[in-house]
Amino acid sequence: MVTSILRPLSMAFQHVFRRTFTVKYPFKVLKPAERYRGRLMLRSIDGCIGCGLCSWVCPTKAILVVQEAERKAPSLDLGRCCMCGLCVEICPSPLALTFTSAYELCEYDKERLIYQPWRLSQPPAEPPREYVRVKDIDEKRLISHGR
Amino acid sequence: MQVSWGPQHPASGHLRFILDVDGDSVLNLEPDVGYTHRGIEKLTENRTYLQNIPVVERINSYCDATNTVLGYIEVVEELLECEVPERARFIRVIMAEMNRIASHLYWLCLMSISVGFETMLMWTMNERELFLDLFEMITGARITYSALRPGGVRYDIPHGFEEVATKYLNHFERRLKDYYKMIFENSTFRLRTIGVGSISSSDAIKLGLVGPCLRASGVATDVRKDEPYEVYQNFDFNIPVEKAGDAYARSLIRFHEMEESVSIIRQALRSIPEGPIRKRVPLVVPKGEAYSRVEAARGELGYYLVANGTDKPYRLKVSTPSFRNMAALPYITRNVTIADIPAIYMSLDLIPLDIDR
Amino acid sequence: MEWKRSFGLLTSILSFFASLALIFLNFIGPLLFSLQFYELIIKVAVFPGLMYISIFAILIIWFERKFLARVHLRIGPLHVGPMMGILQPIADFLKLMGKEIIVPDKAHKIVYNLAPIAVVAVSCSSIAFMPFGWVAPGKNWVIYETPYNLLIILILFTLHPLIIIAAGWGSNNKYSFIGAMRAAFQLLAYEVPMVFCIAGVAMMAGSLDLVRIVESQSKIWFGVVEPLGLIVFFISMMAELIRRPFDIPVAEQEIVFGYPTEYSGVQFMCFMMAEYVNLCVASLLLAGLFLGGWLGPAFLPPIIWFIIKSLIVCLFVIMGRATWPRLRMDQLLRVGWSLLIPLAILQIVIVLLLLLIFPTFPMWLGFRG
Repeated sequence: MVTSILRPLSMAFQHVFRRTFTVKYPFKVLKPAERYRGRLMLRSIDGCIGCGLCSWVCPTKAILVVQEAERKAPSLDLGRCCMCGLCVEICPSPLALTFTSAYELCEYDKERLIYQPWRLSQPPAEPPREYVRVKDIDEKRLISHGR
Repeated sequence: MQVSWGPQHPASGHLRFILDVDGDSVLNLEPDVGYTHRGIEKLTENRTYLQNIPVVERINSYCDATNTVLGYIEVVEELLECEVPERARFIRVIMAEMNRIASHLYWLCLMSISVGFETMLMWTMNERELFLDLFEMITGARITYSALRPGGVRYDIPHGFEEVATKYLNHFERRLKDYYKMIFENSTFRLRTIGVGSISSSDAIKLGLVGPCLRASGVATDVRKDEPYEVYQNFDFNIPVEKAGDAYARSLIRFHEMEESVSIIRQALRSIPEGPIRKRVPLVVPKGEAYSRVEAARGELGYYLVANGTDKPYRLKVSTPSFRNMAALPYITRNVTIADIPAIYMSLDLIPLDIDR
Repeated sequence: MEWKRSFGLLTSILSFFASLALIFLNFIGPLLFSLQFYELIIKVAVFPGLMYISIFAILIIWFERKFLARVHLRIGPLHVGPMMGILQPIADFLKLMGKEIIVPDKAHKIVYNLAPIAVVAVSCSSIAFMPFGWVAPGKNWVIYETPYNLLIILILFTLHPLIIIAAGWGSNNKYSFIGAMRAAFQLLAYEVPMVFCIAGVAMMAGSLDLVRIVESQSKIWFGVVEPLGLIVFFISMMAELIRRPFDIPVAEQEIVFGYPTEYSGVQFMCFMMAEYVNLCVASLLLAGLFLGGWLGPAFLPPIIWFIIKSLIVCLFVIMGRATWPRLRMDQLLRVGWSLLIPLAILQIVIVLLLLLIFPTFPMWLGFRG
């Protein structure tokens, strides 16, 4: 009885001196994995053949194929996108749809959430800050946390 | 006096219990669900079988996405009668067990905060993060993976995954011992959960409980053993069973299940064969009806599919474990105090998303 | 005619203020030139009064958050202030100041608005009777010097359940009312062992004056002689302060936030402030009764020793939040009535037997001069 009361106390005291698990997020970020499914990107507008398969397969109707300078290309409504990746999977062109690792996608304006083809083909802006190196992800987490 | 416990309450989640209380003791509890009803069964009728994967995943997205989709994939494959490559089945098992651990860690976090224990909340969330990292390595997503496909899986295990996973699992097993000392041997947690909300085994069968709640009452049923559905017959694992059927027994069952899942993942990583991961399957499912059940983290999850020979289901009925476990709640919350309500509620591991669909 | 009337009015107002000034100079004027007056002002405003209480509350809130974060393997407050987010409680204070005070439509307005003021007044006034040790020979640093300080502090502690019931009833909210009733049960049940423990100490020291009790521990602390009393007093103190294993009246997962559920902004801050002032007073009380108070090696002044001891007690009180889940009401009452009170009585019996068998025992250990 007494040990079951006092052992949690000693466990808690031990954990005070361990390294923290959290990353100071806005200043340091963990690098996402290579396959990370962030915001969609068109590798190039010219690479898109305008087949419309992405629009057909999208379960939330986030992708619409629109006319862009004499060709058809997808536009994306990020407010509807659920990042399921069916469009990337089905896309027949190796130069068209792909994922980026951008995940900070907030906008002040609802209109800004709709990515027209030209904007969709721009790579996301990298915020200036310190990235924790990829090969460190597991080591960093474990060193901070092991005994 | 009637007290409304939820739907906007620090511990209720998106459902409401209408409590008839006399002072601090609860005379009667009436669950009032439906605050997160999204009509997923109806939504699936308007989408193709492929598009339904992200939709079905949302039945229980933030805890147990892989197991939820696995049941759907199983039922579609049963009608398609397609061959699934062995390697894909192993990857499915690895992902399902990883998700079971992540889900149980999420449950342990909720369980500990429901008795007012913030330390375990933070610790379990830390370890859950490791498993989400592993999922990110495989599928590129952390919560909703949509990685399983009829006829295989979409993503192969990446290079170097086994090494990282072994490291994480070793670490996780060490932490499980810490968890046991911190919460399961903690006198106050034992006081709060032992003998609270007990269900006898006959009652548990009558009320239709599933999964860890049923096993806590002494009934050894597990779909993975009774009716092995992927390559579960290849692995050597136990089904933890407890006799008491109270909140503490239910907690202990889930804790031991995490240990078993770790051993299954290790065996799967060791014996995973080489080969293709996906076979092409037709988009149109032939006419017919099929039922499949899988052991999700919360218990048996059943899908009944009626296909009419098009690329969209005619009807998909989902039988979710949380809904079935909730049936026991009014019976075991008679003559308890208000303080026991969160402990009983969380020990049944009810997720409002799962109840409402 | 108009200017005459206003001139008369003006002269009458001026003469009124002049007479007020005369009265003020006659009666309060001499005080302004006396040392006691400034000493009192310093005591009330700086130490151990307002300034000390607020700095203590701010530091202890910061320490609690930071320490719990370390146990949770988190970082805790980080950005506000020069180091490690030390000004975070001040930022929270300013945020609460800026919030709207919401009075529920069906609340009893008078009781609802008076309860936060009363709770702060009662908890802060108990610091006035807390002696802080010698500053000069024969001169104790205390706002109001009285030999009955221990009794008065205990009486002020017992006033809390009344105010909490008033707050819970006045809110007209089911959760608040359940919380208030739980608080009443808990605080009344744990007053008793607390008083019994104090009785054991007082019998040994032969006085109910905290100054005498502290002085008599010059050779050996009461915590060493009466370990049972120390443990029981600490546990019942945690329950009196509504801290984690015993924070049943404000259990979030059960009854939202108990009696302060409906309060917002400054009124909510009053309840929090009262909680931390109570923590300050209770930890000082425990340090004084069982841990030798301000007595300590001479390289630090006595007041500093007293504060250090009280902070160590606070550390253990905070640890409870990281270590144990919350108890249930019936378990809490069972522990209180059927475990702590018998233990406290056992302590009294041991002390009585010691005093009967060895009448010279207190003199021998230096408890009575």
